[in-house]
Amino acid sequence: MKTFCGAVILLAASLLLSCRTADIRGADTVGFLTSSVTSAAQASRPISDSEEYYVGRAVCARILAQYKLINNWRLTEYVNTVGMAVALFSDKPITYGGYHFGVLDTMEPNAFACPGGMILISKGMVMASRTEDELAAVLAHEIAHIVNRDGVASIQQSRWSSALAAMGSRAAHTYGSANLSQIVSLFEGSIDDVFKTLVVNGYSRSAEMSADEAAAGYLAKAGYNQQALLTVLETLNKSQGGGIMKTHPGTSDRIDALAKKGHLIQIHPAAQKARDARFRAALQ
Amino acid sequence: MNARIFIIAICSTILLASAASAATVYVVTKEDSVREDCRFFSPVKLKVRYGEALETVSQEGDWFRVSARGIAGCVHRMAIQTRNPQISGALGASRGASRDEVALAGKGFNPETEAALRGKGGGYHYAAVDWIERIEVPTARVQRFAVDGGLRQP
Repeated sequence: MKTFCGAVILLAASLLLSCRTADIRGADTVGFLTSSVTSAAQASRPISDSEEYYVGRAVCARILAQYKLINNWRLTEYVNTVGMAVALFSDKPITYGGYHFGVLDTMEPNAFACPGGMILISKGMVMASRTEDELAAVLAHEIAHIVNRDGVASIQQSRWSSALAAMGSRAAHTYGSANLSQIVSLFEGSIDDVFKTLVVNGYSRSAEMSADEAAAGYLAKAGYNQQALLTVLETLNKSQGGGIMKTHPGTSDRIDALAKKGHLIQIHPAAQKARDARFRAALQ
Repeated sequence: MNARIFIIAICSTILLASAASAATVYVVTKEDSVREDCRFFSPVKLKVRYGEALETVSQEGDWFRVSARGIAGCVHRMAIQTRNPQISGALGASRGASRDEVALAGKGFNPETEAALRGKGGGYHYAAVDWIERIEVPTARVQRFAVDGGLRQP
């Protein structure tokens, strides 16, 4: 009888423990909600995942106004598959709108991480990668920028307080025309901040280093070779510049940092053969 | 007899305790999958959408066993949160949310903002963005790809 009661109590305890929800995201993404707009405007308002998604869509839309997408479904699908194989091992395998990868029809080697989960990589960047592992390394680096929210971090803080003021406090789910016009203007300003960072100025060196480190971790977890990140950076460093080299200075420092950390893993010959074959097939 | 009453009391306590500890969580992604087992490549049993309420049953690492629309399965912790992102319903009716909170919840950078930006025309190629977003690599294909290339499965 005692044994039975003990088992019952243990079962109850395990049920209680298993139902804890401490690891579920709290209200952080809607943490900007306060009881009045006055106090909300004073608060530092984090961007929600869905807002990040709309910012990312607009940033990508702006980049895609300058670059055409490649008309090659096989390559596009391959890049998406490699990207997903890495993204599932990232610190944020799920985003509001999911991860999606587009290939730009330009030989200029470049890659852009639009906030929220959309990544654009140029045909030139794919060609600069000599193996599937190197392509995975480039995508892992861009995924890390999304996970680290480096894009939205480039939005000026002052825009948030202005946005909060423009949202208005009255209980209406939609904007009035004046408010909407103001919020769209602030939205455009935010897009501009991110666009300039991605396309013109680049991220800070610390953001790049951090993205490299995270990318190396994702690659290792996914089963790709960490050293591919090092080798693709070396290739880019030897190139003539332009494209990604304009916005990614200090590549030598990054190579040095990776050289100390990257480990070459042994890949089964059959698996390596399969990776090489599908990489070549996608590039044809 | 006493022993039987004791057992019934303990069992009732277990049921009450587990019912009380099950929490309601909400989907925070545009769409997510409730999977048969707690891993990415497990078959999808149900599609759930942003703001949909799920009941958690237990936790397995980064995954939660949940129940949704009478179907049990697993969702990843990154796809849910404890507070309803929509704060839907009548104004002020959602667990003490003020009218201002409810108003703000529906605002920010959202479809309305995007529609207004699109309306301004020029400089934004949203059709290309929509095209990329429609690309979905089936889970089974990613799994096959991982196996063939000697990659790990999440």
